[in-house]
This record gives sequence, structure tokens and C-alpha cells, in this order.
Amino acid sequence: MKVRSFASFAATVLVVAAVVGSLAVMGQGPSAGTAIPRSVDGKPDFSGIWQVLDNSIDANIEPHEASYGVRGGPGAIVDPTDGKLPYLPAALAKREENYKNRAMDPVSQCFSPGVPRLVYVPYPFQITQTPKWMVITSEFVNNYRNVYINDSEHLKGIDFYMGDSRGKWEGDTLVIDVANFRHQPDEVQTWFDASGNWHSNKLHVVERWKMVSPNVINFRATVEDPEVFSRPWTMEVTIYRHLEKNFRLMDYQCQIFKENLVRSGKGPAFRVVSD
Amino acid sequence: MKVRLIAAMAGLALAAMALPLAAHHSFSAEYDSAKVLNIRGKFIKFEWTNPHSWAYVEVTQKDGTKTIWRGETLPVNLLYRNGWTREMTEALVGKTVTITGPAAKDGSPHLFAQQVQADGQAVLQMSGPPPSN
Amino acid sequence: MKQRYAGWIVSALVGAVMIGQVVTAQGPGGGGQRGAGAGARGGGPGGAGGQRAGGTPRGGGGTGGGGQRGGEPVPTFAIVRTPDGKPDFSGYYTPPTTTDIEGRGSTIVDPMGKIPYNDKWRALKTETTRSRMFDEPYAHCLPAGVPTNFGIQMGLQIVQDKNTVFISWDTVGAYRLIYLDGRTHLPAAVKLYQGDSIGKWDGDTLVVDTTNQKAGWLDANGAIHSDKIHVSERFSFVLDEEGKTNGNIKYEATVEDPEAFTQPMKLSTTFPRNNNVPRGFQGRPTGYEQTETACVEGERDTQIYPTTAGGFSEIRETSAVDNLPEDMIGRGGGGRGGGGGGAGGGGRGGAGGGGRGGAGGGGGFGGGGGFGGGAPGGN
Repeated sequence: MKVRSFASFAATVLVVAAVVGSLAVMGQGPSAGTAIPRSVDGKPDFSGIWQVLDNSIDANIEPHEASYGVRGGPGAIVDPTDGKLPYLPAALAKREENYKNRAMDPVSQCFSPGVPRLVYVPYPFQITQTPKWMVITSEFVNNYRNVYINDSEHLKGIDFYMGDSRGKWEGDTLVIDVANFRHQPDEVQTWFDASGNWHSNKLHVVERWKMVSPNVINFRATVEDPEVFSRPWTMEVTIYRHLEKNFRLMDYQCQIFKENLVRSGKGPAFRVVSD
Repeated sequence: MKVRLIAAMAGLALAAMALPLAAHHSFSAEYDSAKVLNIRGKFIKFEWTNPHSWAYVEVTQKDGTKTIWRGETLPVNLLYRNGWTREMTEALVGKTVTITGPAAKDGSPHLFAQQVQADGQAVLQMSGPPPSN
Repeated sequence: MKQRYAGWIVSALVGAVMIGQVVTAQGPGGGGQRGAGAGARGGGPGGAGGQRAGGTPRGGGGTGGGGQRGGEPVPTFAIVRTPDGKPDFSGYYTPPTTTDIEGRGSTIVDPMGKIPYNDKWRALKTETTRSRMFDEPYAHCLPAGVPTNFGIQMGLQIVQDKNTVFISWDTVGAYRLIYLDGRTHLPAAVKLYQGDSIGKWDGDTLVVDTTNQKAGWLDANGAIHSDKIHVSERFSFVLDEEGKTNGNIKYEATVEDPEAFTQPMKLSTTFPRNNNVPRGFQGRPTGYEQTETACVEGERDTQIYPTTAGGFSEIRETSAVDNLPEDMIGRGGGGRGGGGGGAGGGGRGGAGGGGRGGAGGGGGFGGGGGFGGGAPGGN
């Protein structure tokens, strides 16, 4: 008797929880339930504002100790298991050279973070999602990625700092194939982090976005670049939904700060007319 | 048909290049439309960049020394929309080209590239679609 | 010199139509056929994913982006809606663009064709145009702000979900996020380049209120505004008598600037839907896409703006031109614009049926054929 009433009580609790959970996730704000929000087509709905919490990854995706201004961390690489990038020997030498010149990190020069770094720079990003077209918009300068979820192929004959993104669903995981990366020898580069980990224009990234709970995304990226690495490698980061009331992307027009710094001897580069 | 297309494009070249001029607000602040150049030299490289792409040409000056002139062209997305690709601009490297356009007002070796021609070849309209050959 | 420049612009506008015809037509009717094929496939980002109310397939070269020229019949369809029943503006558009907001093709309807500056700001504006063109946001890879983006930044894409309307432009990588959750504005002391936009629905019209915007320009010709600017916009689909739309957006805006204006300024215009597939995208079933504009990496104009325009480049005593061989120095440039216009007439004959459709879109710069491009979407 006791067992049966407990069972039915438990069943009731579960039903109520499921209802509350699904009601909560239909709203745009924080959710108390465990069911992830879904779009009308049944797919997970990533719409909202997200950001990585662990900024040590943007500093260095390999395991590293703290240094001035840089938080220590185990890095983000899950394969190979020792967390170190499988560089080809010549490419490793270039990484070391980049590290010595890490004051020239492209992001600190206001250039594009590239992919997947756009996801883990210390700035939030907004996802606007429709069934066939998603936009990932970063607060950092004017960087945004169009992700086409329409069975289309990569463009030909052109390349981009953030590559060309084509998405498809594998169950509840959004798999985004990113190719067409820029890097001619004398062009501006993108780095994987602020420590000089780099790639060529043969870079190819496959991202896997999975919402593991309503406010948490498990993000994995498998990276291959036969000119730089001896084999593909995989990184993993956890991304959190911003729940603050009225949270929004702000400006970060880095290039103006840089202009002003560079020209500070001659006065501001960009004047606003006022009285 | 092909010949007619190219001939039509030749006449349209400047009209085509005039399109971005209309929206290139600051054109008259940077470039002197009364001082049009036809610089000629070896095509060194083409930078596919925004807001403008740049063509680099090595020019032999009056005094025999060489210097690099830079021609400002359409942005990347307009070039690509008109059918240009990286391959096409890479194929120009090493060729002798002529770039026509107004000189920079500050006297630096820059010009606004209204037209780029590769000598001995069909006219290439950097500002319009490539010839269909 | 100014007159020659104006002539150039006229030839440019004529040329734009002609370029569109030549560029989008691969042969007689080529552009139109391609467009129709792509439309039937329905893979384009323009689709809202299964929510279409059905009816005519959109897009293809034949529509000419809005039928503003010559009254050709344009396919119309019931408004496509998002899952929560709102009009879905997702897609590509090419607003008419103009360098000078008070010039030809002005979208200012009150006071007609003129910014209602007070005397002080009219003088500041004149001075900016004359000697401070360096300050133009575009030269620094900055977004142009609201409503200026629409007037000068060329083609745009809209992607819309329940939380935001995302708009991004062909130039600078400029974007706007319009928040739809009924939030309140940022504290007044915080200013953003694109302001703080909050949108709400009034029936099928999206009403957007934008405050907290930095001082900037209203156009690409020195029409400065203060950081007291407050913009109210209304976006709706253009409808015919049957309540069907051709996909164009009707746009109205009221711009207030108590520091610079004597009265509010009203704008009114139409953003033609862009259904053209430009040459570089032909052969792709999913048609046109807006591509990355990483401006900061390539911005070099700031280095050659002379001091006379507010920049930092001192005009050299010996110009590089002086060291060029004589045969590389041409004569004046003004007459060439006329040549372009003349050729335009010839071009028309060669284009064929498909080309005509392709050129039909929009007005002003970029609205016409060649540089436009729209996802044909599907049905």
C-alpha cells in the first residue's frame, strides 16, 4: 500500500515537473525545467545570448600555468589526450615564434578571431536561429557568422577569416562544417588563441553544438590542417546562456581604440563634432 | 556573342566603376579626379580585403628606379558577386598591367583603380565581370 | 568639377541598369530561368522553414526586385509568417542608397528633402563636408548607425527569430540587433554606435525605438547628428489591394535630435526585396548569400586621407605622380563618365528577356541588377 501510493506520488511529481519544465522553457528567460527549448521544427533552439566562462582557453588552448594577466588552465584539447596540439615540426617552430610575438595576437590588433575562436573569446555572442538560417553574432567588433542549414555547399574561389559555415542536424546536435579559411603568407592571420597557436588556409573545422541543458551548450570542434598538424585534433568548451535581465550585446569597436592609441601623439583619429 | 559581350563591357567599364564611386562618399576627399593616371608595370599581388581590395603594381619611374603603386578597387563581396575569384587575380601576378584612375591627393603612390588591363590580353574589367573565356 | 562628378553619377545610374542586364543574363532569358529553377528548389536561406502560406514560388530574375520600374507584373504572395504569427522579414533587400541625404533621391519627406538643422548645426555640417570627411564612420570600419545604415550601406540581410531581428549590411560588417522582448533601454549615459533598439509589433508592423546612440552621421557626406538622436521606425510589407505582398518592405522613420534639429525629421522609402542571383552565385541552387566583410583587416584609407580632409597625411611636396613617366599621366577624368552612359544604350539591346527582369530592382546605387542578389527561397 505504502509503495503504491509513493509510486503514484512520484509519478505525479514527475508529471508536474515535466509540465512546469516545458512551460518554463517556452519563455525566453531562465528555465527551471530540464527539457531544452525547441523550435517549431522540433530542433533544439539555440536562440539567445551565450558566452564561455573559462577565459583561460582564449589565452591558450593548451595546458598552461598562470602568467601576468593570464589565467592558468588545462586547455581545451580532449584529443590528443595529453592536451597538446599535434604540430608538424616546422609548424611547431612557427608556433614558438608566434608565442614570442604574442603581443601581436591578431585579436589584440582588432582583427577577426576566426573559427572556432569566435566562440570562446571573452565577449558574448547572440544566436538568431531559424530552421534554415542561423546567425552567430559576436560583440567583438563587427564579426558575425552566417550558418546555412539548407544542404548547400561551400562557396568556391573565395575565402574568409571566419570561414564558410554549413550546418546540418544529427539528432539534437548541430554539426557545422567550416571551410574556405583565409591565410595567404603575407595576409593577416587568425590564431586559435592568444598564445600563437596557428593554422594555414588548409584549415577545416567541424563543430558540434549540443545543448546539454537549457542554459548550457557542450561545444566540440574537430580541427584538421594537413600543413600544420600531423593529425586532426578535437577541442571542447562549455558555453553558458546569459540570464541577466535585459542582457544585450554592447559595442566593442576595437579599431577605434587602436587608432586613438596609435595616434595619441597627434590627437584623436575619430572626432565627434560637439560644441 | 562573346566578342559583343566584351565590347559592351569595354564601354561599360567606367560606368561600372562609377557605381562604387557614387557610394564612395570620401572619394573626392582622397582622390583627385582631375589627375587621372595610366600606370603600367608588373602586377605584384592583389589583396582581397574590405572595405576595398588593392592591386599592387611595380612601376618603373622616370628616374629608372622601381616603386610600388597601389590601386584601390571594389570590396571583396562585390568582386565575388561579379564572378571574380582568388584564382583569377592570382593568375595576373607577374603580368604587365595598366591601371587607370585618379591619383591620391596626398601625393602618395596610390590611385583609385577604375580599370585594370593586362597588356596583350583581352581587356579585364576589375570593376565589372571578367570576360567569359 | 562638381558638375562633372554629378554627370558621372547620372551615367552611373544609367550604367547600373545596363550592368545588371549584362551581368545577370547568361543568355537570352538566362537570368530569369535560373532564378525560377532556384525558387522551385526552395533551399534558400530566405525560407522561414515550412511556414509558408503557400502560393506562388518567389524569386528568380523575373521579379526584378520589386517592380518599381516600368510596371511589370511582379509575383505577389501572402505574407510569410514566423511560428508565432508575425510577418517574417528574413531575406535580402537592396534599399536605394545615396551619398548625400539631402541630394537627389532624398528619402526625407518632412521637411521635404532637407535636414531641419538649426543654424549652428547647419554650419557644423557644412564645415564637416568641406574639411572633415576623414571623420566618416565608414573610413574607420564603423557601422553607420540608425537610420543611416539603410541609406548608405548597400544591400542587407535580415534574419528574424522570436528574440531578435538581426540586420546586417554588405559594408563594414555592420549589424543591428533589434530586441523583441519588451525590455527597457540602457541607462542614458551609455551610447552605442548602432544605438539600443527595442522592437514591438503593432499588428503586422514592426515598430522600433532606438535611443542611446553615439553622435555620428546621417549620410556619407558630412550630415552630422548629435548623441541626443532618437529614432522611431516602422517596418511593414508593401501590400496590394488583396493584402498580398511582393516582398518589399515599406520603411518610415522619425528622427529627433533636439540638439541639432528645429523639428523632427521624417523619412519614407521602400526596401526592394532582392531576388536577383548575381553572376558569382549562379549555378548554386540556394542562390545569393551575403559574404563576410572583415573590414578592419583591410582598412587602409585612413592612411591616405590628407590633412585638408581632416586626416593625418601631409600632402607631399613631391608627389609620386611627378616621378612617373610622362605617358602614364593622363588628362582630366570627367568626360569618361559620359562615355559610360553612351554605351549603356547599346547594352540594352543585347540583354534579352532574362536580363530585363534582373535589372528591374530598386533605385539608386546597388539596387539595380548586377550587384544585387537574393535568395530565391522556396514555396
